[in-house]
Amino acid sequence: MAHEIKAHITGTVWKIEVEVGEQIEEDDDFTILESMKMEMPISAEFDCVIKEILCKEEDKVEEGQVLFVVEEV
Amino acid sequence: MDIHQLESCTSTNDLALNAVEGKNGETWIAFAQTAGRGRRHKGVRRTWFSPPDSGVYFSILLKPNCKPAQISGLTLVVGAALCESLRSHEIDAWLKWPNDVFVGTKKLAGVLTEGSTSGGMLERIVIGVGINVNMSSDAIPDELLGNVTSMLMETDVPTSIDRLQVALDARRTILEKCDLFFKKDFASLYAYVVRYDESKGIEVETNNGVGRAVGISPSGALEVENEEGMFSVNAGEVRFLFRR
Repeated sequence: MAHEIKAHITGTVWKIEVEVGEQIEEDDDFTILESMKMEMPISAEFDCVIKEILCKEEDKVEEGQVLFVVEEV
Repeated sequence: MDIHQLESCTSTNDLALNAVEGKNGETWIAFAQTAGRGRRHKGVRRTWFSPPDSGVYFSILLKPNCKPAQISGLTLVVGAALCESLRSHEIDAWLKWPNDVFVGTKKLAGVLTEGSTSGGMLERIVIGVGINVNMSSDAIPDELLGNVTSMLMETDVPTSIDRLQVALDARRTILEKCDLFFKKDFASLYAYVVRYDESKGIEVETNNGVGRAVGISPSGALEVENEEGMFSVNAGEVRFLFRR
């Protein structure tokens, strides 16, 4: 089943930690967002495979914006 | 609340981030760091210049039980609280948006806030602070001369300043203001934050273009104006050119 991973804050994508096709575990980071010098990782809530990456580093993103699509394993 | 004092460590932020049983308000204070870090920029983690016996570095662990978006503006509140504390030590500190404390055109202290989430909620926030307390001008590398200062350099005290007391005073003020922030919101502390904002009129370079700082907006953004109009900066690098 596909899940959308959304930005939990409005900010900038600092680093993308995953690649399409990669399988990651619960608590692994998808990306780290930055806003006003606060760094906030978005972490996986379950084991999953990265299906799509819809952002790139240095993108400005809004809270709620879909950044990744994953499939739970 | 627990306060841990260390002569040296890799990074106080790492200690706080990794403290599995850590409690709200628990603080790690170090007098030297071997791997202190500043903010990341363009893929590179800046290091925080930490010469021995001169600075104090501390990290406060907070567990506010809220969503990540609810802490927007927290770094500004922390920076303002740091300015308030430093001014009580007769330092003419101001908040350079969003997380640096300056005296004039030179950096005195910085804040790095890091969070971690679990189940969509903030599991913890770590507020990391580094303050140049007793650094003398001859300890500053050539490439940083003119850009950094210390409490000792800015005052006329003849002896070293008590670094632990500086950290404890700053911690107290930061915790007071963070408590208000989480009980209410950034809007309730906006007037307090702008009290320490002296950016108006300074030329800045941002990812959106160059302009002159207007000030900090009620949402916590830095407002900038140029010939094309006004724009707001919420994230990314802002370089203050210090030309009025």
